[in-house]
Amino acid sequence: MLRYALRRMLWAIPTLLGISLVVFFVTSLLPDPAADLPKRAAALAASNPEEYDALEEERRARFLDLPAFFNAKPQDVRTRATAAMRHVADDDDQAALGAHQLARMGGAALPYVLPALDDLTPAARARVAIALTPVGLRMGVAEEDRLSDPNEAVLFWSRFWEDRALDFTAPALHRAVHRLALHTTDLRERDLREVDTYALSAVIPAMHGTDDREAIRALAALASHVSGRHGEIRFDADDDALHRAVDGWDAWWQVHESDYVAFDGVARVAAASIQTRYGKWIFGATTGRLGMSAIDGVPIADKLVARTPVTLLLTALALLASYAIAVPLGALTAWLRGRPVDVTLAVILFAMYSLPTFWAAQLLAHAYAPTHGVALPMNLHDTAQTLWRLALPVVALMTGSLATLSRYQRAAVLETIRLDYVRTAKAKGASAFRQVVVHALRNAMLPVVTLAGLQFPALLGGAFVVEEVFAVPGIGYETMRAVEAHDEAWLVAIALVTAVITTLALIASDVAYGLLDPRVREATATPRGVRA
Amino acid sequence: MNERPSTRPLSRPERRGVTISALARLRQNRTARIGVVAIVCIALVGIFADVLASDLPLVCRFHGQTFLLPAFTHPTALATYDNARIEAERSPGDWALHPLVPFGPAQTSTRGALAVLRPPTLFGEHPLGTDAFGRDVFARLVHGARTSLGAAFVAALAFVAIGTILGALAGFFGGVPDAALARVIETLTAFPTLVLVLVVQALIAHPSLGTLLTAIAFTRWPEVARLVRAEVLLVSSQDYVLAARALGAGPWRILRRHVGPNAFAPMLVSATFGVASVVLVEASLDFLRVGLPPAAASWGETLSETREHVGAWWLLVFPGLAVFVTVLALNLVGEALRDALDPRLQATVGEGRPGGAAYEEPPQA
Repeated sequence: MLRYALRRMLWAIPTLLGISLVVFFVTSLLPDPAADLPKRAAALAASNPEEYDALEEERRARFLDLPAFFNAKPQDVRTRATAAMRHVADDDDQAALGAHQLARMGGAALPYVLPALDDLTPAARARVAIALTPVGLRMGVAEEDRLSDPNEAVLFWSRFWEDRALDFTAPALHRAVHRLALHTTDLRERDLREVDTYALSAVIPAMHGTDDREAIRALAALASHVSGRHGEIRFDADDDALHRAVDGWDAWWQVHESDYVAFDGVARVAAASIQTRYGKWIFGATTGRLGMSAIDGVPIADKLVARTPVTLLLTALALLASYAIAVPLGALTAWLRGRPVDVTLAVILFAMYSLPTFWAAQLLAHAYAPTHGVALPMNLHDTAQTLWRLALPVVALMTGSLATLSRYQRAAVLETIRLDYVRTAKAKGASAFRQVVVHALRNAMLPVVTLAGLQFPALLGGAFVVEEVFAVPGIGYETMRAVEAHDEAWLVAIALVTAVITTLALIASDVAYGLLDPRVREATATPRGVRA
Repeated sequence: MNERPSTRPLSRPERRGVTISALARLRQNRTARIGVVAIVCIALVGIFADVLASDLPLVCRFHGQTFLLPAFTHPTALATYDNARIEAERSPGDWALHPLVPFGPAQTSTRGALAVLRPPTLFGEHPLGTDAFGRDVFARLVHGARTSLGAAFVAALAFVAIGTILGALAGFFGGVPDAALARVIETLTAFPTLVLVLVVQALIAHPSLGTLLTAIAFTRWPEVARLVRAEVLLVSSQDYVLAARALGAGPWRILRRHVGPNAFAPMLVSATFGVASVVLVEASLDFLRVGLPPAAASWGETLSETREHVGAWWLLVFPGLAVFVTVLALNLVGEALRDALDPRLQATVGEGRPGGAAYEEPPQA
C-alpha cells in the first residue's frame, strides 16, 4: 500500500513541474512596462538617469532582462564591468550608460576594472578613472577635487589597487563582516565601506546569521549606503518590520546578485539555468514567500495561510455534504427505479445539475440575506458562528456536485445489481431493498469515491463565486479584491496554489481508492487522468 | 450480353453509419427534442437580436429617405437618432416600423435618470424592466444571447478541434508523444477553469472577448483530448482494426475508416457539454466583472448588478433563467447524444451511464 501511494506521488512530480510552467507562462502575459528599454537605454541613461534607473529596476524586478529558460551567456559583475569599462574607454555612444553602470556596481567591479587600467591608452584611462569618482566618494577614501582631476584620479586608483587589492578577497571580506556582526563599531563599519559593494555578497547572507538586532541594523545600513537602495532599519523597528526589511534585502539580492558577484566554476555552470526568468521565478516562489501583496505589503504566502483554510473548509463541507446526501439518494432512486419518486427526483437532479452556481448563490443570498446576516464579518475563532455563516454558501456550492454524484451513484448501483453475487442474494430471497442497500451499495460506492478527485476542481472554482456573493473571507473573496487592486503577485500565486491543491486532492482520492479496492493497487499506478 | 457472375454477395446487409443511426435514435428521444428546440430558439433570438430589440427602426422612411435595417446599413446617417427621436421628428409622409422593444442593449432609457431600475411592466415600455444604468433588460438579454451562445460556439469549436486532433494522434501513435500529451493533459486539468481564466483576464493588458475565448479554449481542450485519446486507444485494439492492419491498411486509412467514426461520438458529446460549460464560465466571469467590458451585453453582467441592488428581483430572475435554460437545454441534448451515439450503451439506456467516469463531467462553474 505504501509503495502504491509513493508511486502515485512520484507521478505528481512532472505534473507539478508542468503546473509551474503554465503559471510561469501566465506571468509572462503581464505587460512589459518598457519593452523598448534595451534599445533606448543609452540615450535615457545619458539624459535622465533617474528615469532609467526606475524603469530598469521595474523590469529587472520581474527578471525581464533575463532569457526565459536557458542563459547561454550569464552576465555577472565581471562581464558587466568589463563591458561598461570598454564603453567608457572607447567613449562611444553608450559611454554615459557605462559610466552610470560602473558607478552603481562600485567596489565589486574594481577587481576587474583597476587591473585592466594599465592596458588602456592614457586618455581612456583618465575617462575610466573619472567614471569611478562616485565610487571613490561613496567609499570615503579620497576628496572630491582629487578624484575629479583626471591625472590625480588615475594615479589615485592605481595606487589604491596596489594598497588594497588584498581587501577585495573573499577571506578578508568574510572576516570583516563577521567582526561587524559580532560587535558594531564605527571603525569596523568604515572598513567595510571602503570595499563598497564588494561587501554585499557577504553582508546580505550575514543578516540571517545573527539574532543581534544591532548587528542586523548595522548590516542593513551598510548595504543601503553602498547600494543606494533605501533599506535601512529604524531604531524603534519591531520584529515584524525587522523581518520585512531582511526579506526585502533578500528579494533585492535575488534581482541584483549578478551586479556584484562573479560566477566561477560550478556557479558559472549553474547560472545558465538559475540566471533565467524561470529559474529566478521558481526560486522566488519557493524562498521569497511568493512576493509581497500590492494591497497591504504582507507576504502572499502569509495571506494564503490565513485564507486558504476557509476555502478548503467550505469546499470540504460541500463535498462531504454532497456525498452524505448523494449516496443514500442514489441508492434510493436505484431501489425505486421507474417509480414516480425516481422520475421526479431524476428531473429535479437534472435541473440542479444544470443550475449555475453563481445564480444559485445569488438567489440564496437574495432570499436569506436579511435574516442570515450575510454581510456580518466572519469570526473564524467562533466555530458555531463560522459554520452558521458557511451554511448558505455550502448549500449554494453543493447543488452541482450533489446532482452529479447522485446520478453516478444510481447508475453504479444499477450496474452492480446485475452482478452474479447480487443475483445469488436475490435467489436466496433477499428483498429489493436488501439487494440494493446490503449487497450492491458498498461495491457501487467505489467508483463514486474516485469522483471526489474530479469534483474538487469544479468545487474550488465554484467557491470563488460563492465566496464573493456571501463575502466569505477565503481565497476567492481575496482574489476579487486583488483583481480590483491589480495585485499581480496574488493573482499569479492563486493560479499556482489552486492547481497544486487540486493535484494533491487527486492524489488523495487515488490513494483512497487504492485503500478501498485492492485491485487498483496491483494495477500499474498510472495517474487516473491518462488511464486508457 | 455475357453476364458475369457478380462478385458481390447477393444480399448486402444494410449499412448505416454510426452517426446516422445515432441521430435516428436521438430523434426518438423526447427530452432531446425539447433540448434541441430550446437551443434553436435561443440561437434564433441571438441571431435576430436586432429585430427584437434595437435603438433604430427595422424599416423607416425618414425625411424622404427610406432605410432598411438602418442599424446595419446606415450606422452613420442616423447615428444621433433613436426610435423615440425618429418618432418625434417625423415629417408628414414619413413612417417607421419599430422593433419589438425599441431600445438597444447599450442605450439608456429615454426617460433619463427616472428610468433607472424600473420594475417590469409586461405590456409597457420596458417589458422586463431596466437595469441600474437605465438600459432595457429585455434588449440586453436578447443581445446577451448572441454574445453568450456565439462566444460559446466559437470557443467550443476551437477546443474540440485542438483536443480531437491532439488526442487522436497521441492515442493512435502512442509512444513518446502520447506520454508527453498525457503529462500536459494532467497538468492543465489541475487548474480549475474558472480560476485560470479569471487570473489571465485580470493580468492581461487589454482583456477582450478574444482573450477570454482563447483562455477558455486553452484550459478546456485537454478534457476533449483525454476522451478522444481513450476512445482511440479502445478502438485501435479491437479485432476489426487488427484485421484491417493485417490486410495491409495504412495508419491513415485506419484512422479515417475505423477510428474516426468511433471517436466522433465522444467528440460530439464533449462539444455539446463544452458549449454549456463555456456559457457557464463566461457568465460566471461576467458576474464577477472580470469577463467582458461592462458595456457588452451579457447575462452575467446584468446578474452582477443585483449585488448592489438587492430589491431588483427582475435583474436576478430573468438573466439567471436565461443562463439556466440554455445550460439545461445543452445538457439535455448532450446526455441524449451521449446515449444515442454509443452503441455499447444500448443495453443501459435510461439507466444512466455506469462506469462513465471516462466521459465528460457535467460543466460546473
